[in-house]
Amino acid sequence: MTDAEKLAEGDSTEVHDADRPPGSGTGTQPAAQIETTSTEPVLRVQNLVKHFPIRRGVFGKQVGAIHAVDDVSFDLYAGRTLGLVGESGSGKTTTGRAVIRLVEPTAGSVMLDGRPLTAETRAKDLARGMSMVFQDPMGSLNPRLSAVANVAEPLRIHKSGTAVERRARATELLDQVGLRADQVERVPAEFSGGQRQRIGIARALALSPKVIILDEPASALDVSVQAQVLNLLRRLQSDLGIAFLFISHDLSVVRHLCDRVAVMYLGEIVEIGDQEQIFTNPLHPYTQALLSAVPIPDPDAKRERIVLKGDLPSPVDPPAGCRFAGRCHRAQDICDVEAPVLKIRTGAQPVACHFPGPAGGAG
Amino acid sequence: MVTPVLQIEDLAVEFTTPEGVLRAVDGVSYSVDAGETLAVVGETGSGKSVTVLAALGLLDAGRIVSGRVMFDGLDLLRLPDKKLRRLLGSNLTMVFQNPMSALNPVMTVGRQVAETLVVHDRKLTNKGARGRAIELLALVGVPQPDVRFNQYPHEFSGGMCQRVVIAMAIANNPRVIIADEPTTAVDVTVQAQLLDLLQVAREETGAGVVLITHDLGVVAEVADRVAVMYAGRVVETAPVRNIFRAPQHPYTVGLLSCLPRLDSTVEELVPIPGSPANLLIRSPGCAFQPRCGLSADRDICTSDRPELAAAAADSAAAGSWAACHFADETTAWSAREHLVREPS
Repeated sequence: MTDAEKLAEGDSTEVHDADRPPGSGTGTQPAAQIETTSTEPVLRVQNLVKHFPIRRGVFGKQVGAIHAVDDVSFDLYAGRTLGLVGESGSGKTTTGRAVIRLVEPTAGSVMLDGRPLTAETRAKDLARGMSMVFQDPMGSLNPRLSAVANVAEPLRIHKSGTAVERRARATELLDQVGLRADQVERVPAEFSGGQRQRIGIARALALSPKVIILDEPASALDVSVQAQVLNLLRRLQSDLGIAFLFISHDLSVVRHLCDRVAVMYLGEIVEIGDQEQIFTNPLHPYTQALLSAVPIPDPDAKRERIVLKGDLPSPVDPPAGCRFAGRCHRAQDICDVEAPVLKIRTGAQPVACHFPGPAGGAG
Repeated sequence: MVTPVLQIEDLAVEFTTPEGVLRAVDGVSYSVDAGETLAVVGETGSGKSVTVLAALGLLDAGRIVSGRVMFDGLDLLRLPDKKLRRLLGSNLTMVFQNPMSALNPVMTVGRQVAETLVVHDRKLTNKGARGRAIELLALVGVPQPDVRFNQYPHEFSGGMCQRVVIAMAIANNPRVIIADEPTTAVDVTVQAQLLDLLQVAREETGAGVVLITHDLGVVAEVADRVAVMYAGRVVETAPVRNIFRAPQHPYTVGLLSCLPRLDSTVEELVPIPGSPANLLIRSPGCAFQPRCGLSADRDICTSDRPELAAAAADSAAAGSWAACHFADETTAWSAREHLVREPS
């Protein structure tokens, strides 16, 4: 049984599934059940792996690999947001980039709207289904093109409509993200950070994608502006039914925006579940430590902080057993030997841990 | 009555830009007591960093228009360069956001800490400095300090580098530590460790800490007192509980209401309307007025600039000072507009 199947099984046994289409399973579910539900995930990622080779010497002999993403699987549904959270080095950004093939995955499959994406999939077809918004809009927009030309660029490349039609569509998109018609001729440098991010979002919407990958889209913005962008994303999603893969290190933002959350550690998903499950009843000791470290804007909030010992292990030669074992307060002998797989327990979210359980408990 | 260890009075700083004169700091006053943590909060362009850089004579552009910065009976702004240099790094120290740029990449970490000690204490021998540096590295939680002493900054993680910078900041028993976004570049689990470490540093030295941050979570966690800055001015200063329980300035209310929270969920965040103030345009009134929901276009907000005034002693905000003409209406207004979230 693959992890993805286990995941799927987990989905089918969860209790509060009201906000998510059921029947997301693969092999383990009876065919009849799949037929009763017409909703398939718009994006299905299975066993995604990305290793970056390390080369040495004159002949560039490969001497090792950075295990950036190891065996990552998840489903994403139309109109929903899946949050990928983790600290630097967890592989969340590489996962996003491998899904949209900015980096070529080492192994694994990505299905967009029921069709597999392969190395042969033309970039043109890929871009019609999926787009990306980056953290730094200044680095991703063409500084010499006006806002409207930036947004029309994908349409031009995909030879959609006439120049006049493209302009009209781009202006409409910019209006949708809250930029006035009299602003659209300005170049990116003339906009504030928040406005630039709006342009980036408008451009991502240009080809009416099914999925948008958002990599820390609001992290560089001040909180008052960040709130505007987050509200915009929510509104666009409910209007257009787009699915978001939201990559962020900011757990408060993820709680606000996401329906589902996957927690990553050293290239692997260690826990995945509904927003409510992850934030109110995390079962993986890493998720618990991560949540306990987030400062709460309330001077009376008294919490037990779980302090992690040591540093993130090297992704070049990750530990053989559980990758978190060396820093885990619950680790026992088996953790160093056997890698835990994402598995569910009745009525709870999938967790990759030999001793999952509520914080403070022995599991 | 405690006398403050550092007192900034009516500081104003201007930059000349191609578009005109930009007043980044516009009459800022605040002070910090020994053993106290003052958090200075504000968004980009609020002047929170420029204020301290100007106060310590570290500004490389810009012009100090007015003000005094009192430390130990001396006005730092009028101190000869040589004397100021002697204070910096010993009595007055800084921790910056990016530890990599604060450390010399081609000098071992240990030597940099030892150098900080030697520069301010000529009598210290090399051996003595080495021993003391290792002690300091151990204190800030660098594992195997005697081995790590001989390593270079690139061999340290970002969090470890920041620990080294903090070790240098506390090396000479400072009386004031100014930390400018010290945890912004690190992950949350490392941030938690560094904030704990700053508390240890404060207790160890008894110094007053000025913590500059944009993160209200960090403020709630470590601050005793808070100064909220907007458009180059302090718009509210208060004990930390007041800021979160009874904010008096509409901008402070706005900062809290637009924040996504880990401990609760809301349908929609309430952003502060409009965009940050343009510092090139100096209005005679309140800089926050164009974005303010409480002002409701009342004339005084555009004609007169509000000064910091104390909240009524019998109110929930006793001890708070806010620069708002209608601060006494803020609580009722934010409740009416559902801008304040109840603690969960």
